[in-house]
Amino acid sequence: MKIKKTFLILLSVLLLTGCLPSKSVEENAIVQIVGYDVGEDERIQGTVSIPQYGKSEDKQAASELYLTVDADSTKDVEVEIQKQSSKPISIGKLAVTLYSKELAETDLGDIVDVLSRDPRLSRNMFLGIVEGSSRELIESGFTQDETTSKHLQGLIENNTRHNFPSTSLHDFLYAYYAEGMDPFLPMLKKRESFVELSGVAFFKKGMLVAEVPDTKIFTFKMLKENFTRGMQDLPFEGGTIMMDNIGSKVDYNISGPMDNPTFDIKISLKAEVNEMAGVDRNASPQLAKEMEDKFVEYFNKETAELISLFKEKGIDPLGIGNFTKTRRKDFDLTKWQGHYADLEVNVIVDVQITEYGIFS
Amino acid sequence: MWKWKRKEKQQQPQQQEKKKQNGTLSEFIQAMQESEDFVHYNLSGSTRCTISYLKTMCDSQVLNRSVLSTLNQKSLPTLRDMQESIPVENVRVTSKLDLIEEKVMYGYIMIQLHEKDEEVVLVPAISLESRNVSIPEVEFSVVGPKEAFVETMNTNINLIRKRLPLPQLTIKEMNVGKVTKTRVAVIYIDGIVNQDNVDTVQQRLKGIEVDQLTDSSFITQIIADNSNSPFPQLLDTERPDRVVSNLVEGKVAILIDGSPHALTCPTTVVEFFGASDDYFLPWHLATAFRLIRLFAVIFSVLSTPLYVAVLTYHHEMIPAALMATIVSSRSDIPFPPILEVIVLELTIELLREAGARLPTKIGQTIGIVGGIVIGTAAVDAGLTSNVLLIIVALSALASFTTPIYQIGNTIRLIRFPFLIGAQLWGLIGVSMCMVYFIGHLIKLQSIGRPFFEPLYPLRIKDLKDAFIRLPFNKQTERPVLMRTEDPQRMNQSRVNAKRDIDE
Repeated sequence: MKIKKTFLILLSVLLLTGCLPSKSVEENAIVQIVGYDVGEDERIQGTVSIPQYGKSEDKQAASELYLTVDADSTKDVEVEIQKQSSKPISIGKLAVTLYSKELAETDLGDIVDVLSRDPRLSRNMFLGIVEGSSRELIESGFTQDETTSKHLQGLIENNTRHNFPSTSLHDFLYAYYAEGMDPFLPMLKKRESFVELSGVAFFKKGMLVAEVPDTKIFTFKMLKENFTRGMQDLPFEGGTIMMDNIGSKVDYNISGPMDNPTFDIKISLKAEVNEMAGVDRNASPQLAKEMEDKFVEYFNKETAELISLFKEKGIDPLGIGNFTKTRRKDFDLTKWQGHYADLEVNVIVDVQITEYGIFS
Repeated sequence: MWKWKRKEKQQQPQQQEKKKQNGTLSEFIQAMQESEDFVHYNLSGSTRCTISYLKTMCDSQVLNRSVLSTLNQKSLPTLRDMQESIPVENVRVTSKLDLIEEKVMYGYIMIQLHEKDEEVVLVPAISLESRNVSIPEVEFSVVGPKEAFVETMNTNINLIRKRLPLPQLTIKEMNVGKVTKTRVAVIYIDGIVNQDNVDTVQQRLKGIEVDQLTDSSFITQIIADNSNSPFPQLLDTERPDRVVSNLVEGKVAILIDGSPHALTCPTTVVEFFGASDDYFLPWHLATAFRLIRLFAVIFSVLSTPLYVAVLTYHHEMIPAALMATIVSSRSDIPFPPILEVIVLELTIELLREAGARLPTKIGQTIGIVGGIVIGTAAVDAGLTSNVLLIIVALSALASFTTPIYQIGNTIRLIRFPFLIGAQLWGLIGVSMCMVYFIGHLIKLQSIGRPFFEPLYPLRIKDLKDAFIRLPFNKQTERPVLMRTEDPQRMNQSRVNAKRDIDE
């Protein structure tokens, strides 16, 4: 009896597995990058690139297949692309998703929502905003030996290790759904023969409302998180000095009653100066002190500008509201948003130049 | 239709009766004379008597120098006189038929005064043809003792006894096998061993109902707690030093005449991955090698199933850097991953089988031909991918790292259910197989003691010599598994005492 039962279970298992379609990797079109643009008649234009791997000898995929379709929704893009592809689409390896600025200014909320629900997708995926057309950027093929997706993935990843604050689908979704926090994404721009990270795009919920150029990224990252690398230049006495960050710490603090709170952001930055171009003075502790003061002055100005921009647009990419929510039990989102424009935010920057080279 | 079966039933009791009728000594001699090598003749020198023996089993030196010369020199009128004057040890006078039968079959010389006499003298003159003690081939170790068991039980017991000169070393013997009547010895150290373990082993050995017993692996299979398990539940070893250290730990060893392997029990699954080398090296090195071996086993079982699962279902799991390599090496292959893997795994199994059956010298050639020629040819012909060839070769190599051959066979075959699971449900299938096997291991017992022991039931004390091997001064207690009568190996305080120069 028992044997009969086991046999029946095994048999049904064997027969039922026939219902599950399975395809080996090389029989799939592995999409690694997707770009969305505004299409005609309020439709979305989706572009994917599918790497074409060569036969055994040449390992690297040099060629890519670009497919562009018009669709009503992001899921529809997948359906439409399937119509043009000889192989089933596999989106599990999707590494970069791009949106054109034009599309982001309407609303990304619905599109991102789809991404957050698909279990096949990695939360480490990068999102990016393209100045111009994302289709053009994908199809331009920047390097000979890399796919576009690998190139862009490397580009964003490399920058998050330096001046750009950490970003990924996970970070975006966290900021998107959190109370008192708004997301931001890197801006990419296609130049003649290369692509560059041109700035940060700030969102109010799913809508792109502001952007800052790449010169201000360092200041933004300094306000946002602790980090140990990155560089910032500064005009100094007719020349330029270059500061190399070796450890920046940021500390938020809220004080005062909830209806009129004071927010303190304390930044202590340790740095070394490794280049002085056009400054005709000898390195000395005295000079370092002067540089420190100059940097503090510079950062005070920059942070004040950034924060006033945030207040003006009513966005909170630093997550000040989210921070307050974790500290105060009487936090009320609507009240907070009402107060936000008048919130007193003090930024106290402390720059310490620990090293300025050895002269012989 | 069933007539033949009924006939068989009727015949059986008749046969047994016939055997019983073989009741007198003369009938025994008559039966023996059917064989050409049975010598039976009357001696008509100074002593008149009848001598019978099996010339193929007897040592002719004993016969010529001790027995015949004594009988011819003086007149010995009675059997007692013969017993006293024949210069061979343990000569006995008896009239018990079954004893006579047994002894003659083993090569004793039987002397009767008259042909019809029931009482005889038995002179031991067994000639033991045996191999010399040689280097262990299955469990070779670079350092440490290099003696291995041989096919003669007496030699094997000698190898154990000379390492354990203790009166407490007890050896209980019995005969197993209806036809072969093989000698089986149960060895243990009285005072250390738990008597329950010995009783279980002896009871199971006595309960064995089998006609032939030609090797120790018969016993492993027959007295195993779960005969349907692919895991061997008794550890077989050809190293006397390993048996001795197991005995000292409180285990029971079983020796079988005609088999160059000893069995020790109770055993645990981790013991199969410990080599005797582990005790000859410093403990940190030994631990590292043990962990490498364990990793190798896991790799060997799981690598190809994971390959199948990832390539068929979980494309996300392939690292981006490997994507191009895997996809381009797979692009020429006409088979799905599962077929590719099964073809290659079977090829390796074929090579291994062929290598094991052939003489050593040809075996090596086959290995080279198979490994290099078939491997590269299969890749060139586009039947398998380069990546898989590496994985399969590595997993085959990894399965050889187990010091005990028996578990190596298990590992060889266990990966096939995993492969099927991987093809059917991907990683879920692999984990389901894993759950099934771990569940099976948890339930498994060796002589009534848990087989998956230091892990389940979790016994922290026994982990000291499981995946890691702590130094000897930390191992002052015998494993809990055996529930020994004397759990203390040595005095802890004296072990840790500092012997400075001042003392």
